Amino acid sequence: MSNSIEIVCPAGTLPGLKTAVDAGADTVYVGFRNETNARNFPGLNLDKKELTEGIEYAHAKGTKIYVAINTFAKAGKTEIWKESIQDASELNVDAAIIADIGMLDYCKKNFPKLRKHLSVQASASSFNAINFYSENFDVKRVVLPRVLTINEIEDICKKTSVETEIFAFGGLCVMAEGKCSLSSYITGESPNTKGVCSPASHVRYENYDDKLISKLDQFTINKFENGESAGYPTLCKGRFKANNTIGYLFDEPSSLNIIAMIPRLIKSGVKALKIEGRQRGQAYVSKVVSEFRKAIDQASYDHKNNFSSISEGQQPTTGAFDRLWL
Amino acid sequence: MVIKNKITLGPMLFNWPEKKKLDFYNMIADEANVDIVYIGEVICQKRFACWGKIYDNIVERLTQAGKEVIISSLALINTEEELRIIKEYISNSELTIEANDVSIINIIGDRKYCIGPYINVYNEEALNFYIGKGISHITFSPELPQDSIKTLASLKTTEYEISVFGRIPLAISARCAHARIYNQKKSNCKYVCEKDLNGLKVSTLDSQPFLTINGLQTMSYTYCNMLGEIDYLQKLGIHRFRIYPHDYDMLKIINIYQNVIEKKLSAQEGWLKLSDHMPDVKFSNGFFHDTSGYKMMQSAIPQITE
Repeated sequence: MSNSIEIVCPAGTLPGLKTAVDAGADTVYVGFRNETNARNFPGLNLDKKELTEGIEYAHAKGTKIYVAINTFAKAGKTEIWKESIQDASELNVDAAIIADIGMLDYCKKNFPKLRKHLSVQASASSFNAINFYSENFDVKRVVLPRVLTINEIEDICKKTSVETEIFAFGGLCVMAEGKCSLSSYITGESPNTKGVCSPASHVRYENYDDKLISKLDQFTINKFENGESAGYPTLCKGRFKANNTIGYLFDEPSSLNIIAMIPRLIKSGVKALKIEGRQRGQAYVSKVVSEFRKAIDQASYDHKNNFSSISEGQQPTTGAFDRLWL
Repeated sequence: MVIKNKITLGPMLFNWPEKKKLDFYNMIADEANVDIVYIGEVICQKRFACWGKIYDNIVERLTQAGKEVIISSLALINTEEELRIIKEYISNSELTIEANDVSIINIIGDRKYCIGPYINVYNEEALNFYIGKGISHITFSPELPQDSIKTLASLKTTEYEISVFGRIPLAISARCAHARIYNQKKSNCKYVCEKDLNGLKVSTLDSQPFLTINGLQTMSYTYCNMLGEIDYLQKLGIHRFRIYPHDYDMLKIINIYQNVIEKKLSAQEGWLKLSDHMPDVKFSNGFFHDTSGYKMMQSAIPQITE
């Protein structure tokens, strides 16, 4: 292998999976087509038959497949999560990405050979938390929260023998993942419970006074002037009012891009970089993966890639990684 | 067997000025009919400094008044410094600890502890895992719907606590939107969150009340009000009811809940009294009814709500 850091790339469909494999991903992660994963969007994700084919395709080319089973199983209805874990084990996936302590425990007791990764939704934000998951459930890798700074990531890598994976590109959660019920407060559905945030079924766009208004349920999330590009109304990325301030109070509608930090991250001992976006198109995946492949293989600072076309006209950011808010 | 209902006072989530906090807890010690008081800083490491001088006094006063005191941990632990401070709080007393982040479970050791509402326990398997670890009780996440609460409570393997009054914690971040709105940086925030005793209101661009900012935390704009559900919860075997401190007449609010819990007032009567006391407030119980958390489902109190 020519590189020292693994690229973990999203796929929402079987063709998407193949595209990612062909583009040079070391690993592709997918979800089953049900509420067990945190991108439970209509028309997205794979059934068992598609995953079987996908695994065959990936493994033939030396690419690994992870399956995200990373929502929180509903009390009294945990069968669907358990079946998904069993399917993942039977299909010989390379790892299951799990957030729920109940499902980690189930997996450990019933499928000890299935490699377990800790989903970002488990909110393991300190080495103590990581050690807790490792000791209790034999978790081999942890996907670190996006709230951590580069210094904190380096510190965690030093203090734990558990592999670390960090978000490298795509959507940015400003709230601690797995501890956020903003979406269910407004829409009744959240990442933890239904695998969705600010779901499209609750989104409306209205034209009023020459302005485009985006709404979630009955609430105005943003207003756009004529010609201003209108982003999706993810509720923490809207414009609101408080005190005398009007604007993006929680988070700018920016996306995450840490490509410039790759050399430092390789040195830090981070094991894998995760590209967000199982809901994205194949062109996005293909482009982002090839750029990251290039950057890692050259461990180069030469990141003059134009990502603006794929981050929806939003400003790329290094997010919490450099603590812009401190 | 008659199970005693317990009213618990949740941790102070807002950053009230020192004197106001002290007066409040003195009043709770002397006059409030609550069995258990959670104290400690749940939201922000920086606010530990604001508890410093008065913390021991408060614990002592509450304990002398016969209240059981439980220390609530931070809801989000990222840094070594945060862990260090919490370790110090744990080792300086023998009180029960409410774990709100799994980071601290390994450092609690043999101490008695319970699971707070910020640790995700959504199903039987997760609950059984923690019961195996020897927890004393669990406070449900506010997001849990009725079906899940019913399933978990039917296990009858531990004591269950549920929040019945107050703004609902919804999210927590490493960033401080509160400081930013007051044009301060988190590193030198001047504790501006102290100005907003019930949190800072966030409205939409169309001036609809939307959310509340409380330091690193985002809360509901509405106040959870489960007066209409208490009877049902008791039938499920839930007997611990959590009320969160806010800048209202908390003795009056505790009294209303106590009377409904003890069946001295009907839920409807309790509602009327609470609405009279807080006419400016919007109530909600949507999470429990498996719908948008901000909504107030009217089933329990059809003749009173709008």
